[in-house]
Amino acid sequence: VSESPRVGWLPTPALSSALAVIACLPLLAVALSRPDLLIIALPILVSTVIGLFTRAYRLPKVALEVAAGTLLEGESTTVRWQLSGTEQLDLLQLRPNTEGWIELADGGAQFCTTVSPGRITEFDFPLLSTRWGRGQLDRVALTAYTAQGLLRADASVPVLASVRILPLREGFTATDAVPRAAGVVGLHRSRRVGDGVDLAGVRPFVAGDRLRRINWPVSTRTGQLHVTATQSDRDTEVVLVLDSTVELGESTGADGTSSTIDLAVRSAAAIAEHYLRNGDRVGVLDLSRPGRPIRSRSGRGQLDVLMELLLELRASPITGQAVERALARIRPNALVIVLSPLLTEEVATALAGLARAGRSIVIVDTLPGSIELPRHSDWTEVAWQLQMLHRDNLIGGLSGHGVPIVAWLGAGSLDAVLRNLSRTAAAPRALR
Amino acid sequence: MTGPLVRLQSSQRRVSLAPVFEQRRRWTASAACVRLVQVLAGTAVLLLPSRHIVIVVVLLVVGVVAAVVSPARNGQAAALLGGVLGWLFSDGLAGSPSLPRVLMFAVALFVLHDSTSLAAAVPMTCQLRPEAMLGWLRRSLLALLGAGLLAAITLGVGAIVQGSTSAPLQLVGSAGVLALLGVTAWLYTRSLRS
Repeated sequence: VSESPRVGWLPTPALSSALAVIACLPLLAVALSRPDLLIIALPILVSTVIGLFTRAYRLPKVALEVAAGTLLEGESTTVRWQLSGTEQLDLLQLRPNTEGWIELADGGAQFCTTVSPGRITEFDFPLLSTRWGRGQLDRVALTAYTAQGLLRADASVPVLASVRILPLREGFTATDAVPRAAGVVGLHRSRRVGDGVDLAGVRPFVAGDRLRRINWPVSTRTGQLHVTATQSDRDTEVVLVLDSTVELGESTGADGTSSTIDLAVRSAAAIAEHYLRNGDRVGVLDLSRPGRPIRSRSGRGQLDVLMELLLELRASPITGQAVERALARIRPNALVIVLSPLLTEEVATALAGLARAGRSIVIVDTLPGSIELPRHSDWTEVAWQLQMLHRDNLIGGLSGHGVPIVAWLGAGSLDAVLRNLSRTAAAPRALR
Repeated sequence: MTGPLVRLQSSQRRVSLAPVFEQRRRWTASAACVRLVQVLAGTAVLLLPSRHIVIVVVLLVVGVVAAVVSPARNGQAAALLGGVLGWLFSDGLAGSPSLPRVLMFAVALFVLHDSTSLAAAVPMTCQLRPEAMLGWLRRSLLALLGAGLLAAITLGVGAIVQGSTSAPLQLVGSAGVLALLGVTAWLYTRSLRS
């Protein structure tokens, strides 16, 4: 809510014209003995006198209320204006100023309304979110008219209405196979035998086995008690590593083109939501802020925490050492999903080191299919081709280290690589 | 080492949506309606005088067009000046036009002035809310009613004296005109003081 101060009023050109008519016509009427000139001047004169006599001095209070403070990309909400004043204002023109990724749904038109004393004027206008991030209405420019448009006043009134715009998550699902299911309970099949659903085998009964686990057909056939062994269901830890050290591509909203960071944010949100819904622990490491990782936790609250981080994601360069230090802090059993356009050698080198250390890594390629390059010179195209060659080299090097790289295709994007990783993790290893 | 184009686009260089805003802006029906009233009133002001002088007509047309296109500037003054001059010279300086024509011209001139004031407050992209429009119309009608009452008094006095000259009456009339001018000037200076 904002209360406008007493403002200075300025005469409009209409007042000058009215005064000229009022001053000249009656004098001419007397001088030329033409009462018709006086009659012609009368409406303008009466209107001017009434207007100036009943004019307003103060601007009204302005209040805003946003119907929904959190939106998805492309969704719209309603903002309700409430104007209340103590004086009659003939016309009040409002021009809201939006910042961030919101816009007025009708193209930013202005609004003209009136304010009556003792009455609250209310009206709604739609607000549209264009892209993930934050948006706010921070100021509203007012132009008030009083005295039937003869006086005007301009003011800029601070208001605050913030909207949080969450990334649009495609319906993402993934296989329940994860390389290293750990923890206590969960939905993923672990390699350990325990209480679960998936069959691990049939073995002889030993003291401590539950009676309901006895496999009666096998026991009858062999004449010795056997029990059905199952693999225990455990949760897993998923760490999403966001490579925000670079940003390429134009970010024009949910229906437009996407930048590398757009793709990273949307895919990270979808992956995090999927694993958190399955009861897993999910953490996020933003490489542009390596000192502030989001620790892995489970639950709906964690999704809100992750979204807050994603909304603040900005491109920022980082040194190779900082990347390595940040990645080294990830727990050995965690499934590391890296969302990266694979354009920087620092990140690629650090990821290769992580893979050599036996970590389970999946890289989701976030380079958009088509990028419109900002043209700086005739060499831009050549430089871009060199950059792509460089990227191909990085991808080749990472593949050589056994790091799977997949393009983000929504649901099921990671199924194949997760199964392969599970098999790899379950395979016996040679000890040196 | 990083590639040559890696950092070409930072987050600050995201494309602004301002051009999209501009393209989607459009004229509103209410604002267009106000302009239409201006044009109609201007046409009436042009047609009501019995005789037309080319220079005055040109001045009036230019003034009305300017008032419609850019009402917040001085087009209104040109339109009113053209209208008054056209009226003044149509029947000669000592002419006596018929009462219905006088009344219609007075109303047309007032509507031109009033609608231009409103148009100055309502840009073409502005959505004028109905209550604001109705409030404006109500105040305009009130002014017209008041002016009609004063006109009836003026014409009534004129009918009583029936064209005969009277020095005291002329003095009273002149004093009344000066009083009106004084009140207007006082209100104007008072309004600027706030």
